[in-house]
Amino acid sequence: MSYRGQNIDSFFRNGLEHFQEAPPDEVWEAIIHSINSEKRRRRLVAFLKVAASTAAVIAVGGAMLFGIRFVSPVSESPVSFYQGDLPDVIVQEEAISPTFAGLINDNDISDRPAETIAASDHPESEEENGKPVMRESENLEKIAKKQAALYGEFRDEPAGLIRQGTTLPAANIVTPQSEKIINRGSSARADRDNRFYIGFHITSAYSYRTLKGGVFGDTPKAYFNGFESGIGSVSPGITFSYLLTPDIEIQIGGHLSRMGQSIRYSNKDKIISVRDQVTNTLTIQSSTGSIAKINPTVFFLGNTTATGIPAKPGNTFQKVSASSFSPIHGNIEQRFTYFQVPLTARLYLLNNENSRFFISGGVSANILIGNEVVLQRVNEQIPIGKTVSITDVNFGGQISGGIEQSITNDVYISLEPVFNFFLSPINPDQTVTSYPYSFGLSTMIRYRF
Amino acid sequence: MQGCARGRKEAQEQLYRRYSGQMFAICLRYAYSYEEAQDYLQEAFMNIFSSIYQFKGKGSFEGWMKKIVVNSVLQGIRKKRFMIPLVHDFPDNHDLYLPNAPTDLTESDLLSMIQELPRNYRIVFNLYAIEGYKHNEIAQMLNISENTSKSHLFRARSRLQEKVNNFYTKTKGVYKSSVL
Repeated sequence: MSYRGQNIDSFFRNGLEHFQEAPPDEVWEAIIHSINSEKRRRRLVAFLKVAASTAAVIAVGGAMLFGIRFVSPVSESPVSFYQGDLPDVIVQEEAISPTFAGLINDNDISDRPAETIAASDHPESEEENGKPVMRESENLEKIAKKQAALYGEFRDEPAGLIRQGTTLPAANIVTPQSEKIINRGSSARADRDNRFYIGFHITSAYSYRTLKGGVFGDTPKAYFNGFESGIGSVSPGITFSYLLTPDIEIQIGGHLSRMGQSIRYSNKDKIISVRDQVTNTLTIQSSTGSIAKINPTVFFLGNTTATGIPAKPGNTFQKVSASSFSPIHGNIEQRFTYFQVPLTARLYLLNNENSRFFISGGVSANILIGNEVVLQRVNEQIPIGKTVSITDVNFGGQISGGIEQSITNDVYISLEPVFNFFLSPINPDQTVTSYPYSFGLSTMIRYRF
Repeated sequence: MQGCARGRKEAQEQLYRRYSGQMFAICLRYAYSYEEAQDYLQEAFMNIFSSIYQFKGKGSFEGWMKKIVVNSVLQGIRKKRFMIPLVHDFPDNHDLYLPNAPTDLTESDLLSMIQELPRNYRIVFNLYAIEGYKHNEIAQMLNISENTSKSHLFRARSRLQEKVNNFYTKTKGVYKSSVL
């Protein structure tokens, strides 16, 4: 082509105007892979958003619904309390529930309700100075039994049914009507003997890491975030709880938790890697540490360019087992599986027997039980090595909140968004230190005993 | 385009097959290697697919795609922090003329010459001379001063002229020797 007399700009502009070059097929393959990865990531984010929104709606809705319906057992219980020194006469006809007033009429038993029954150590007389006095404590049991015969069962109190200065629990007399009432409220729950819980939960989480320190440019975080991203996981756990007070619970347990990160194939050009010329293997530098390749059936094919750029993942991974070498593409996932032993406290903000809203927080010891790196493809995972210099034990914190709903008297199910974070780096020997964290949604079913 | 906006793979592949050659040529002009150009192309098409619904039919679709490709390339380069600001004063219209341009320069030759330029010069030359951006726009895009942009352009032109002249001299020598 001739461009006589043109300036250099138009010379090149005209010369390249119709220039085209077909890219290799693997570019389209890589685009498809990236699109699929992006779709999966969006689905996970969407799921977490929906789950978090659902949890929030349930929590707020539950708080509003049950908050309005909350009924004090003291104000509605048909049996009132005695507390402190008994007065000479207690007759509170107006305070008697119409449900019970006038229904007890037996010769052996007073037709007065339980409010007017005396403690056992009071004088046993029918009248004193013209005023009605307390009856014998034995009569209380008869009254209660009578009431129970009419309206429900009678539960024996171990000792001292009613004594002066003690409280007559509302739960002593249980009728179909009062059953619901006495079961509501923290006072009623606190009176229950069953304070232990055992729970099993499944947590769906998205984990990633924060970075500190480093010399990779001015902002190592921005640098590594250019080709790294978080990963999703589902993990189980078990929790033991003890109800310390009606509103505070102490929990300890054992969780499996997967932390980690993904090195995106789509940004492979930014990955720092070092090629061993002898073994033809590659060590990849991620923010969390070096990935040492140990899988002998998968290796990087030397793709060294004239400028000494080392082989890159994606277009250079080769499967030795294949009859002919064929490049394979995929994100590299660094996975760290931890056995976490958390010690947390749960505070009930809305403490209703049927539904509770709570927040919790605590610390955990995290023991590394799995360290693997895989080449993650659409329908295939190929182990390729592990991350070196990862500490075996770390400590972390946990913050969560959620709602718990009773299924039966002793079985509960809860939905709990959880934020888990490491307080110490998992790679303290590295220039850039990595602190994993995760956002998750935990669903727990637990049994009270 | 509607199929692409809906995420249909067939439509996306059709679009890719139709325009990838043209867009890959742009990537090749900015990249320092063939592999890097592939990465830019991949990123560019990801951006095209994810933002194709924003194209409202105003202007040329091809022009819109080219802008995305160029922006994707610049974004990729910016991430690598290869842009090192230099400040020099050079005349803006320092055009270099080719008195006797060779007659057998191919597109590949021209591309190679551009690729051999230092990255900063290459980017500014591409943006100014081929894409048609102005210095103030380039300065904004690359986060450099206008003077730096002018400086890079001047140096790029000088080096390109030198390369073309060398090529011409070499070709002329070969021609002469083959004739003689």
